[in-house]
Amino acid sequence: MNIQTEMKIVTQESDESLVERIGLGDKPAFDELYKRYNKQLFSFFMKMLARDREKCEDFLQDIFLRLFEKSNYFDSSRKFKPWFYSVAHNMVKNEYKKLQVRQIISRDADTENVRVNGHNPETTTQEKFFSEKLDLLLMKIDPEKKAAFLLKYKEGFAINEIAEMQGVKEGTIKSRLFYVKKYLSQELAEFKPNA
Amino acid sequence: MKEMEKLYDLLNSFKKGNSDKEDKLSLEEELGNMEAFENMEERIMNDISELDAPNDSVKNKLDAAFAEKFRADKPHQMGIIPITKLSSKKPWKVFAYAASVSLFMYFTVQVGFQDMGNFNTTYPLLADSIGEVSIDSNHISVDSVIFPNN
Repeated sequence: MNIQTEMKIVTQESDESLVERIGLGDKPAFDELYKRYNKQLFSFFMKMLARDREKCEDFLQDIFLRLFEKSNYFDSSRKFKPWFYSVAHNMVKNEYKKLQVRQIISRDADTENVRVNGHNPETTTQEKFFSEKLDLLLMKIDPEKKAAFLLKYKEGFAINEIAEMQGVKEGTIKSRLFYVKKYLSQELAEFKPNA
Repeated sequence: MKEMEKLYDLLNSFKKGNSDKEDKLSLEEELGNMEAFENMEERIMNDISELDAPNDSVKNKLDAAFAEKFRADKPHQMGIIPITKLSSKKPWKVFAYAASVSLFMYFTVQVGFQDMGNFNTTYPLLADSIGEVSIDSNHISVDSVIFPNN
């Protein structure tokens, strides 16, 4: 089997099957899974960890290291994506426990005025301004609520899957989503179409 | 849950006609927030859906770690498949592996015991004592055992 044929087969394989192959040292399978998830996971970490690029890259490296070092722990009867994101979510949760992120947030909150006021609305595009404000607001939200929001609206997980990842009831997830939506709509009121 | 309970309470009061002016204002505010979110939903979704790309060095480090991990594993295997990895093999491969291991063990033990059938020698037991030990296929005999007298 030549390399191109092998790559074609790998790209058609399910995530679960790729993980099994990774456990046996299959490099193309690892490359494919990395290709599928590296940007998604990195962006998730960036949103969760106050856009600390260096830390997010460490986290990304760490989660993929765990994947091939402990792939035997993966239960192939489960879906890979929710399992992988629950690992990512736990990593972030532990990081918050260490209070490092809170330090970053307080530092960023102090500079919020500088960042927001520093932009001249006439020279900065509206979208960029909106994006920065949204980032700052997300940084201030409680990590569990923020994770629920990103997992639902960014990653497209179902409520029951998020509840399983966070180890809470579905009602709690609905409530967390409601809170974030309300908070964002209030804080972003200046960007409302009719505002 | 408090946020949602509050909204349900407001809606129920409104349905039953029990809302006072303050309740109606609160309900309007809550619904207004939801409407505001819906108006901005697409914009928010577009923003949070943007993907950031990690530096290539992450992949390079992972590639090196992957190579290290699986290169390090192979010499230790010595042709022996770990039990945890058997489940991922095809059944006929597991059977063939088990059969070859069984045959190897059978012949090793057979040949070993056949050799022992002709075994007859003398062992020094202790520095000050000599015992003559004979072993054949039926019995083991010791002619004499002399213990040191001190």
